[in-house]
Amino acid sequence: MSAINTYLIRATSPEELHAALVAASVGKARAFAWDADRFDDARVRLPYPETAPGAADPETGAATEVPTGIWLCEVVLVNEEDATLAAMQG
Amino acid sequence: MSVASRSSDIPIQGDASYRPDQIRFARRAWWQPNAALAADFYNARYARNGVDLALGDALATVRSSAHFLAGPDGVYQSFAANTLARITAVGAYIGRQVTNKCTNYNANPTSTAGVTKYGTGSVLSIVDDQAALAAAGLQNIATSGKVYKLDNSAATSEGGVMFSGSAGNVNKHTASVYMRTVGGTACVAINSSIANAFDTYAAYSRVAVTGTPVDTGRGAQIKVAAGGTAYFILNQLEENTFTTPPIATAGAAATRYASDVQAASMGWFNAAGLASGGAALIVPNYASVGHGVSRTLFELSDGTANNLVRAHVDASDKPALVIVAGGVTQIDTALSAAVALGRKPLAFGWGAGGGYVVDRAGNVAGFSAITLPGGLSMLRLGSSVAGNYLNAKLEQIHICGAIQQADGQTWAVTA
Repeated sequence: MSAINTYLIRATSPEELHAALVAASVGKARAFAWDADRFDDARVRLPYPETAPGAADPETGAATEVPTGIWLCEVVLVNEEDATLAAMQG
Repeated sequence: MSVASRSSDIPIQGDASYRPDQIRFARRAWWQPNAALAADFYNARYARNGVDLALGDALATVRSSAHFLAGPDGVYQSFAANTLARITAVGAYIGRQVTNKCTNYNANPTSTAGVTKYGTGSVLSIVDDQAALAAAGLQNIATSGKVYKLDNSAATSEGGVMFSGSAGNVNKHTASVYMRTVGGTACVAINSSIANAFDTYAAYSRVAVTGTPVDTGRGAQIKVAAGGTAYFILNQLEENTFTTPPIATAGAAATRYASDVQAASMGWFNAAGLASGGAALIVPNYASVGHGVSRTLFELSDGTANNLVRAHVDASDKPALVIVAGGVTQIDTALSAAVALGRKPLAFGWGAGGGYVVDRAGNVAGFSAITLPGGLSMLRLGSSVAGNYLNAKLEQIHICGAIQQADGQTWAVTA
């Protein structure tokens, strides 16, 4: 059974998330992010907006979500821990 | 008796008749002649420079999540993290990262949380439907046998459900669900105007619709006509123009990470002399086309976009070969004919003197002398350094020494 370690990283923009993961990649055998906008999409969930409950859908009454302005990404490591990512978690 | 005079069916080193390649290919040559690395995912066979080896010794897979893939019997199988999704008589699925944005319990629900009913007279519940799920090959995902049921049989107008979880942007999305109906029709929608036609489904079928959400808050939806009942499970909302294998959710969006499949080592590459050119014989199997983006078959590179050999189908679905040396694109040539659905054997050849792309139908794109890239030290299958994935099944691939165009075409016809 594999040990799955998930690190949730928060920032105000996708660019800021990318820069943080580039910095966290220094000295690592496999980078979390590189170049201008590439993420290791085999291990990093691409940046997505954080949401909070919004007004009900006018057509169906179902709950909706609205962005909070914060961007998130998750780094998921299999059988591996990363102290740098752990320290970056908000 | 001296070695030289010994009589044997198997010539040994030192005999005048010793020809190891002939022996190898005559006896057990499932790989193609000159193949330095061969992976036959369809038949679970792998070899490097003429020596059989295990999948894990030939290729390394990184993917931080599980992966479902349907077998030849239609039954989905589960693959653990960092394990290639490969099934005999199917092949390997190599795809990009996909998030199912639905946030309900789309597999094994225990309540209707995250599923909101609308319509007067309809009744939403959780019921056991194990036999029908098994008949559809879903028993290894929907392990509890429980599904959602919307009974709209007593209603006089349309009913339906909204799944929690929104698109979050207005890029094209595909909503899908496994659904069966009783006594009426139903459809799937992206809330709420993007919907496929109402229809009946006697057994669980994957019903899907693709479109552009009218705003970021839109999600997946099912509509059930008056008088009908729908049983449904594994609803999925993905930012794609096509469906990908199911992604189970448990109260939150869930991501299936990209499959990064690379050669486990590269010593074989230079040993086979492939730095000065080579060929690739490939059988992809496309379940969907028209993605509008490049879909990589393989890429040899130095780890950057500055030196590479990449075979792919381009944004117009045309098989193409791209060679970049020293940051300068040497060739970017595509067939005039696009691939369609199903198995599409393709052959690619390249060298300093030129090369080709050829398909089974005999369509050819050739090119003349180029500068070859140096420092090739990485082989990716089904993905590129730029992040373009195959998003399809790969049945087999042979990375070979030089193969003449005519031989490549002959292989494509018979593969």
